Amino acid sequence: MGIIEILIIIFACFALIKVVLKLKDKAISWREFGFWAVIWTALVALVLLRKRLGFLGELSGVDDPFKTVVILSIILLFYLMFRTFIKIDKVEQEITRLTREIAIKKVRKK
Amino acid sequence: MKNKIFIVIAAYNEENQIVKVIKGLKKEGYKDIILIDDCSLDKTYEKAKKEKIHLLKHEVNRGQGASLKTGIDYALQQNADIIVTFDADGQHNPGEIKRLIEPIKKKNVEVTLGSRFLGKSNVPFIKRFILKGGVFFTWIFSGIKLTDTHNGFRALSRKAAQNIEIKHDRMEHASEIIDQIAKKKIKYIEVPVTIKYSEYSKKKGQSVFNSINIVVKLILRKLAR
Repeated sequence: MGIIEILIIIFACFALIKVVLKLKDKAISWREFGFWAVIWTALVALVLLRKRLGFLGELSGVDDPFKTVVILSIILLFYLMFRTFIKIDKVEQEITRLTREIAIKKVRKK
Repeated sequence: MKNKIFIVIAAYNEENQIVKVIKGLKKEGYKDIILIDDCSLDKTYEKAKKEKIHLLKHEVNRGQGASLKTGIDYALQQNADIIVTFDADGQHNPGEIKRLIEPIKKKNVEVTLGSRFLGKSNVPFIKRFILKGGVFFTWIFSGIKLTDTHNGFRALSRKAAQNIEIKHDRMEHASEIIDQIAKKKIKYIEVPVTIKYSEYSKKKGQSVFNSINIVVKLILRKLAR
């Protein structure tokens, strides 16, 4: 096992511990915990069972299953970025709506 | 029946010009002036307070589009028949408002859009290049061919003001208004207006970078909806 793989496992375990602590503090829901737990556990599994997961590489047409996961992750990240943009846009619209309502309520008439 | 005309001015950091602009409008006989201070960092609001106008203030800066929407909504509440949007930086000539509102008064159109390229404006080269880009972009996305797509000098009938929804907060609103005119098949014409370019107004104008930013935001919004 190379240094990178060891670092990935350490980082994923650290992230998993953080997620558990966040759940304990009730900062995240069970649903969010489940999502992130699966992600970090899957990452550890991918590194440890790389050879056994060779079929993933064959399925996707990319040699290395790790590369397949990286490519899929990049696609997912772009999608999440797009969704975040939409959410931010909605929040901005709400801030504007409230700002405008307050301005009209507090008008200084001539 | 006399039409109730409201002038809507969105202002941000215009302490140097705002009193002059307001007085210029009053000199032309326009009494119903609505100023929206978009949370200016200077004394725009304090200086405008001394003039007898309808004065609104955004508690946080939201952009020209948001400010105009605030002003237009307030004007409609005040039973405006015609709403004129007017810049706060002294670039517009209040004497040309008559030219803008005449076609609406005659019920020929619902919206008149000012065009500096039909009028006698000395447009700086870079600005001309950016604006012509805006014309092309508007034609592609809205299907409307105009000579000037980013001119803040425009007049709306009450019906058009009620019909047009401004959702973009910042400078993209200008393209959005045109998009709405196209989608809702609102009758419009372009009218020649003069834009006075001073060193002050040139500094405050849109940079090339911001123009690209506007296009990117418009494309992203179109994809998201």
